[in-house]
Amino acid sequence: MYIKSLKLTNFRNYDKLSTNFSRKTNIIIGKNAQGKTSVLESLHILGLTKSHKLNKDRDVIKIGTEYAKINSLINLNDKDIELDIIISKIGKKAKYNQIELEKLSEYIGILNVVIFSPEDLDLIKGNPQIRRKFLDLEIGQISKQYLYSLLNYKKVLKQRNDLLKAMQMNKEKDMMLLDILTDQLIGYLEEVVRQRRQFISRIAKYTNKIYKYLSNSQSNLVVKYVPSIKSNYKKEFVNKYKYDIITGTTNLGAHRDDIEFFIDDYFIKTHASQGEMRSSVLSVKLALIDFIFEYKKDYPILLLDDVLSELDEERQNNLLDYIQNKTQNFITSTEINEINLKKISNYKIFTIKKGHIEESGDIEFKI
Amino acid sequence: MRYPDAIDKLIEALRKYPGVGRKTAERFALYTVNRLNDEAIDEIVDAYLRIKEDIFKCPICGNITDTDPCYICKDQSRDKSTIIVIEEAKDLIVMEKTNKYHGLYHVLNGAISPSDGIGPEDINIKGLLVRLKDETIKEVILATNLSNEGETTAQYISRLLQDSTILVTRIAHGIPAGGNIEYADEITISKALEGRRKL
Ligand SMILES: [Zn+2]
Repeated sequence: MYIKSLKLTNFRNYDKLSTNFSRKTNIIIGKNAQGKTSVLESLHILGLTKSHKLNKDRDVIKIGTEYAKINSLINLNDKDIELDIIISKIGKKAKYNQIELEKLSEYIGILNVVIFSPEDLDLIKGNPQIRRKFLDLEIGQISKQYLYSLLNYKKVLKQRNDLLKAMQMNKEKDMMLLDILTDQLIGYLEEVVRQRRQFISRIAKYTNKIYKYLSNSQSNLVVKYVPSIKSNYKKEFVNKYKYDIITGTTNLGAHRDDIEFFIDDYFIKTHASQGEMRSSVLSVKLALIDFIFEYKKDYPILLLDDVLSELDEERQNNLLDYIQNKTQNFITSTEINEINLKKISNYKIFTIKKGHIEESGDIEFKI
Repeated sequence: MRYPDAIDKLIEALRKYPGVGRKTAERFALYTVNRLNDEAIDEIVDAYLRIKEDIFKCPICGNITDTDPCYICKDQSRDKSTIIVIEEAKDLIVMEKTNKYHGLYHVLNGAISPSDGIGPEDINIKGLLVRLKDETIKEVILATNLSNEGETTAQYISRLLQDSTILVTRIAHGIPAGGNIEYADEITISKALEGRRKL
């Protein structure tokens, strides 16, 4: 799959942007705050209906306008398809060949996207919520069943928490209703945990291999899924009934899961250097490319936001070698000379200035 | 500038309908003033008055009715050994259309949903338990929606009845997960009734 062309309307600082892309590599050059990350953000939303940043959907709407539009032409299995996302202040719509899809879950997964941006170090450094968002976003790309179970898990969790809040305040406690909602929650929890466990075990395999390759190292990068409950779900929940009522909330479950990263046997979050962290996250992101290929028999779009310049020459070269002939790439940088163009076989260069995009002189180089 | 008091009152009254916001209510109110003649307004007022005077919930089953009891509870030819439990009166109309079922109904008027402040005591479960004591019911068919709330409600009733001799079954077959009874067609409903499972 690859993106042929993109049109943005009222998106961030762009009134209008319209451009065609190379099916291999697109290099977007611009100074900070000129809008190069916004282009990648729009591609991320195009695939996953959500920004990679932790902001509200409506934040991408250009100030003083009512809605933002992302229109695109993509190529999927040699067929051209139009994908559009429209974000207004009250919600968002997704269209497939101009037909609006009723549910966003029908749309997610058509265009697969993997991003690596400076904020992604938070996958290791940040709080567990960021790692759960990662799980949900990435598994959601390949499994509708996961999105369905997760959505229902969240709905039943809200019912259960609202019941617990009421029980916390009232003298009368309907333990039977609590027990029924617990059974219902466990039904969805089992599927969410099963898929999370399977996902981590699949990507862990790739991640370790890629880590060794990128950093020419013998060390093992280990990714571990840390579920809030390991087994005997019902028993664990029942043991916490009293505590749940006192606290007025559900203290166990998929909403308390986490992931841990180790290099050999030291914990990366507390013991690794910035460079090791970056290589670790990059390995996870590249593992996603292979993981998505395993399911879809097609590579996702890869977005590299301002990260090449952060890698030393050896790692940058290894990265560029690794993605060669796999993904369609979108790479942003402040300076063109920070990118080793010799490692890229087929590319277009774009320059961004004050919310305008221009394709630079030579359209396609071939080396 | 404000509207005369009577128009403001009508706007406020119309907003009681779900999905009707200020703008829609205003449009309806002004349409009433500008486009409807006295005769049309009388017709509407009369229709509302008849609703108020003639329509009530059947004291036995909770169905919406203008007779006491409703036409189903009154009908001596119906099979008094089974009860279908449903969330809304409109589900009864869907079930009746299949022409496959000739037993009784019980309308809960809602489903358990703590997030909406609706507990088991806020829907007509008590009425159901009373009926099960007095009548000759052998089977209760739980036909609440296949949404999470409908499932919770079905589970709740089934647990209340677990020590009784009454057979408790749940419809399922063919109705999509999360599905509303109201939107299922007659064939799907018939199959769901035939393919019910024991809880
Ligand atoms: Zn009745």
